Amino acid sequence: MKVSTSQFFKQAVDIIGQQHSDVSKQQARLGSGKQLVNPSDDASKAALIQRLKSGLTAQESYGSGLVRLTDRLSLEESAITSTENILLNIKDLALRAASQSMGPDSRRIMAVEIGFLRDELMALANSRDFNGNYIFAGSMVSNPPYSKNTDGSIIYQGDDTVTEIMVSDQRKLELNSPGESVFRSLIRNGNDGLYSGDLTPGNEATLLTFPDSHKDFALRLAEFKAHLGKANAQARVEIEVETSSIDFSDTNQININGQDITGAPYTTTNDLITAINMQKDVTGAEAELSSTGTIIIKNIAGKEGDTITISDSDGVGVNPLALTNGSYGANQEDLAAQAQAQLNYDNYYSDLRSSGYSDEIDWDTFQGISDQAYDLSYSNDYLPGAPEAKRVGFFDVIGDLIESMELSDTNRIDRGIDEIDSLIQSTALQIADIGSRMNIADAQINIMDETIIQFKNLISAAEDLDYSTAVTELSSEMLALEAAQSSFARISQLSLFDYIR
Amino acid sequence: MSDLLSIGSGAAHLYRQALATVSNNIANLNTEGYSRQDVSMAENNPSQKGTIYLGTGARVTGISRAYDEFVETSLRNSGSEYSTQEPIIQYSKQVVDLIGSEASGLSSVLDQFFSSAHQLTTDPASTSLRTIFLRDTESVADRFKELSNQLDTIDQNAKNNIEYQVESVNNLAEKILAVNTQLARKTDVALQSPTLLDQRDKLLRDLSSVAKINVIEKPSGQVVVSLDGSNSQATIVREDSSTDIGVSFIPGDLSRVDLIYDPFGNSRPISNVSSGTLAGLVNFRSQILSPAMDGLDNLARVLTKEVNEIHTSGIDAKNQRGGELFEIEPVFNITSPTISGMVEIDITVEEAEDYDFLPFEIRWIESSNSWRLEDEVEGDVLFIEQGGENEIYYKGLSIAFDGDKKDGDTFFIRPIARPAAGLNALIKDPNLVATAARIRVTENIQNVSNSQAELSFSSSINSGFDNGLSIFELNHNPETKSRLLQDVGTVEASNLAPIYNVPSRSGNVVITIDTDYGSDLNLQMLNRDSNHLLGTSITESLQQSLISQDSGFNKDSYYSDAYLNKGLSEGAYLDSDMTYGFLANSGSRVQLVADSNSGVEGAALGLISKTVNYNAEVSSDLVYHATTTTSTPITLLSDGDIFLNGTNLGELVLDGSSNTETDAKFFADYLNAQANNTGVNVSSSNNIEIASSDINLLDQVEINGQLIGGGVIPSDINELVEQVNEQSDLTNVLASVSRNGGIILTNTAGNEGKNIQISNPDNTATSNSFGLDNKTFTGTLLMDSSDKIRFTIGEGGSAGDLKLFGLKTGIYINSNIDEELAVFLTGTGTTTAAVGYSEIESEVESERPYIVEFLSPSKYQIIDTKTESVVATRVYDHLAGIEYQNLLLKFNEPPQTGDSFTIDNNDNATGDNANISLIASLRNQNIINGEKSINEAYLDIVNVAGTKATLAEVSKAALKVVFDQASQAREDKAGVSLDEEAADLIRFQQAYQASAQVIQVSSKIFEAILGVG
Repeated sequence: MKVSTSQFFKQAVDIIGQQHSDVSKQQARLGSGKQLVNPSDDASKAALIQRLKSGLTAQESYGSGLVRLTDRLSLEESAITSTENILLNIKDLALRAASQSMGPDSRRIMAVEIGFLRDELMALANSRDFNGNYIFAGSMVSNPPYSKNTDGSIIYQGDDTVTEIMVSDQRKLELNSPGESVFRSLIRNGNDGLYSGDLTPGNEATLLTFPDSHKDFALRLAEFKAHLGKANAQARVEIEVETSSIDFSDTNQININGQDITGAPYTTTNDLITAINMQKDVTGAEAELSSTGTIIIKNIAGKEGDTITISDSDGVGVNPLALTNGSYGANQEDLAAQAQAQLNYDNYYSDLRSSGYSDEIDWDTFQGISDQAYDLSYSNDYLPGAPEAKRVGFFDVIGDLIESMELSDTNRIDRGIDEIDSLIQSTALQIADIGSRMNIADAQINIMDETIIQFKNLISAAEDLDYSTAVTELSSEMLALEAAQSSFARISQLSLFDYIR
Repeated sequence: MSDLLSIGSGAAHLYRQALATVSNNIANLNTEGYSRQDVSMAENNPSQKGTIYLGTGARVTGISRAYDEFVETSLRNSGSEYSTQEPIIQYSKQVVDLIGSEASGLSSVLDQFFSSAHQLTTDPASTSLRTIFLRDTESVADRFKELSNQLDTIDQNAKNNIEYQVESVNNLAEKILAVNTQLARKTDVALQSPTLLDQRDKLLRDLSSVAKINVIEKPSGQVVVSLDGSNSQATIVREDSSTDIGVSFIPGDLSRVDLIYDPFGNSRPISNVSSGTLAGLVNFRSQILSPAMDGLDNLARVLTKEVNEIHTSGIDAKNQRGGELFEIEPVFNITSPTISGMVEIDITVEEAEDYDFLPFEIRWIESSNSWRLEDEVEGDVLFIEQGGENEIYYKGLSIAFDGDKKDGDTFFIRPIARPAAGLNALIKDPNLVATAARIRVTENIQNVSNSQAELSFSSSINSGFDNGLSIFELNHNPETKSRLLQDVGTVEASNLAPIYNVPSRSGNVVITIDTDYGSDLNLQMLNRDSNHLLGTSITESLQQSLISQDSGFNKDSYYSDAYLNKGLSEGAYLDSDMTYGFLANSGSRVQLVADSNSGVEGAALGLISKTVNYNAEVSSDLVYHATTTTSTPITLLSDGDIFLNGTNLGELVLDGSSNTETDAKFFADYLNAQANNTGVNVSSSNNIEIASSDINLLDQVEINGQLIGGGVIPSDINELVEQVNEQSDLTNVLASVSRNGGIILTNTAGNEGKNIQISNPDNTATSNSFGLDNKTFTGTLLMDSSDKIRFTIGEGGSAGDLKLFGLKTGIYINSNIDEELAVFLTGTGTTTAAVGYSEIESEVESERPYIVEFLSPSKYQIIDTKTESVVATRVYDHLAGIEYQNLLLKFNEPPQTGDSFTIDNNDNATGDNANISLIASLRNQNIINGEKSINEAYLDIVNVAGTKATLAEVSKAALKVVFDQASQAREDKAGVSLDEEAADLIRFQQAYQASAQVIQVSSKIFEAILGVG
């Protein structure tokens, strides 16, 4: 194969040029300390580096989020811990106030003191973070969440939003605790509660005249009365007489419970009923026309369960009602239930009559209320004596306590102490909750620190130059360049013309 | 002996020439395209001496070029392919360095954007974080623009280069033609000057490195050259002519470069050349640059859409719905081929959302001093007068003009879909960042249960009603988006499937049916929550039946007729304006009226537009004709059947004493009895129009029992009219000749609205002189009110009742109800229906606040906060939650009786991060084609461009081997090697010296001979 002279020179230049460029590229790498001087050197590696850096940026932003989260949580924690301490102070004061040795004046002084503590609690509930956001306001962070109403009660004006922030690609943590979940309301079972019993409007009105605090006693009694009414109705003896079988021509009189019913022969059904009813106070039995046209003979009110004996005035043969002569009575179970209901009612009635509340109940009105009026409440799933729960706000609990101390109402002070106890409990729970969130955040920070180190390692491996290899490569490339250059210098001198002399 | 001399001198001459050739070779050592030359020599013809032949020496037969056609061809072809790769590598490296760099690429700003969004989630109320977020939003937009511009610059360079390459193809073609012309002088290639041929081959090689060519060599050495493409015949050089090629680019479409053959003559497009620098450049644009730019555009488009969708659904710190965070401003390509003036235009986008991205042209019309704008797609033409400012507004664009314009100057304006180049960040005020969700749920403070509600935007889209035709489908022209009240034909009653459904976005809906008095057909309209809104009271079994079949009804909802037929002032459902019955409204409209007050003297009376009030007015069809016998009253309407403008019209009885049949006047009196309350005045009339063609003068006729004409046959219509009028006192009917030659019968004065009975004395006849049916014709009612005429069907009423007054009953919805409604036709049989509506442009989706109240643990109702309408009463399913208006409400524990939850606008929730969290979470979401996150998709673009560049480098290395071999082969054949030449030089020199010796010998011989003599 012939190599033309120009070809030889061209090739030599190409080779040396290529090696020059290799050497200068290697030098640029060494200068920058990066494997890639230009992305075009290895685009996929450049993309990989950027991908890793994106991941790192994401992790770092989670990191600063976590820092903010822990800052925020420790703020919340300290506010809630102070809340707990103040609640304990309030409880101490209330316990002292509950003591029988305290007079109304000292209780009033303590009430003032608790009032100040309440204001302090409100200030805590309106805590702000270092950016000026109200921390317990839900998402309405620009306005104080708790403010005093015109009547002195403290109301919440934030919302229930719980904001969550991402702390890793998968995990979310709650950033805030809305006021309602920190300064929790509680459910109060007690005299202030409402009744689910669906009283008829008229009766409700009369019951409402009882003072609120003692309404439940009256209602309880009403329940027993309703029970009794029901039991009486159940035990009532009723005898049904077919009008067609009545012998209106019989001149004998009917005898009920030993009393002759005068007026025989009874010409019409109505005459018969009137005649029976004229004697009802004596016989303890009355008659009425049923909807199906039969005559019902039954106990009068107050005599439910009593036996009704029917016979003929002459004591011989069939009576005009064509009923079997003899006694008609209630069954034993109904009678037992009736007796128990009567006993319950009587006991509770006498207890209540003799109690200190007796004066506050309008007994005449109470007696006027019919048994049936309570049937509705009785038939619902209303548990006698257990009024339905009522939700009472955090600050209202304290407000009620203050009020009861001002009034020296020891019963309510006792209730207040119990309620403060449960507030302390829920506050403690909240502290625990925040503590556990902080723990999670700390754990997450550790995980993230590790992830960041991993990312940095990967980036360094992809991006940074391995100097020893690079320097070795450079010297071998330089060697090759030198070899090419010197060999070219030598070979190019070779020419046949040198030998033509 | 002379032979010896001549042989010697011939040889000396021969070798001198050989030496000259060698020196020429040496001299041309570095001449590009030079082919080594060889002296070919041959033995001279021997001279015969008797039987022997004596050699006579040698001679030069020619100087030949070392040339091999196949070697040349393969060199040209491998050169083409080799040079294809170079521009691809060079340009794609620029692209990769640009988009792959951390400093200029998109990756880092996207990271920054999402990071600052995430930072904002940790404290949404912070103004400084909001500002940082906005700053990063802006840098995303800026980076997109910069990248797009840089890529555009690279594209511009590539384009210039392509133009340059095309130009060099044309230059080379011309030069080859020049060589061809010279070669034409000789017919045999062997006779051609080697220099010319070298020139030719050099030109061909140069040409082939730009574009691959096919070469046909003619016997004379002339060449015919055509571009090598897939299917085109593009001969650019012939023996005696050459043809130029040109190039054209399509703005905005990088994937295409059109090569044009003979651009200034009989031009036609040709496909791309297969290889060469030109092909490499074109391939770079279509395979690397275009995907990169398209990819970038797609990222800009998707990012804009996704981010805006989230941002506009949240609310900002000022309690307003979020605006668009990004906008894509159109980029324009303006061409002006026919400009004769010196005008230039400049377009700036003022309101990007108003522009529809359609191309348009704009032309100056001198005579009207205005610009004529034509939408090139829709064809709409608009004239905009040029005011004092050199600026006009068109579809959100501001177009500024500069310079003198001449009549007919036209600009063609084409928007280019380059989202990346036109990406802008819109929001500047940090308080306008919508960080909060627009809706929140609040538990009532008095709730007994601890149930906490969570609100989410429901993913399930209401499928709507399965049955019943959407009224939108009744429109055969999708463009108009509305339908005037028109018949739709016969509809059949069904208690199972709706006949129509009224989609949300419907406005001014009217659906009427034409039922007879006494028919049991009625329209019933219900919504998805089984609220019976319009219709008549229906039995429980019918309620069940209506909602039983269609899955569009919410099965958990209780039927309610609380809002049945309730009007605006009567506590209507969501305070909507709906009517079941008949409705005509008064109103006002702009109308052209004669300007009677133009006070200027001499000024012509013109038309001016004026707002004119018009009354509600209705002209009925023929009223119902009921008859009874004396003293048998018929009750036509019971008390409470029909209401007019809210007034109970009361009982309507045909008493059989004062009236035994109904006529228009009877009904008018009934309606007018309540005129003080209803505000509606009713008049009656009876006009019968008879066409002249129907009139049969030879027949007879009776009006109201009176024989007309007394048996005299009228000679013409006028006489018939006279005959009728002769009897007017008895018939109470007047006749007149109508405008088109027929007859009009009307009541005489004082008898307006009375019935007109037409009969024929001949009982067997079916018709009469008038060509009318033999029957009683009732009149019509004209109702008029300055407010409205609104008949409603009361309890016990029915659709057919309005037929008494000659009216059709229908459903009228005047306000937009943003939910789908089902319309049933109950009863038996069929009727004809008419439907009209207009479609309302959908506005920004926003929810009506509402309250959920638990009536029991298993039953709740939804109350619209604003109107206090109970919009639904449903069974509670704890697992499914509560869905209403695309919102899904779920509870952590079952709520109890009396609990209530308020869903309202998330006002003052500066601390809520729900919305900005969604934007931050876009970082990892596969939003690009559902496959990749935006950053991954971007790095993919880098990767693809990088891979293409690497691929080009690899093929370049491979092709270099081929090319080197080909050039080696050529050099082997035609190259000059100094060593070889040196050897030749010595060889020829020695031969020359030997020849000289031969001459010397011959001279010596000659001298010896002379000496002998």
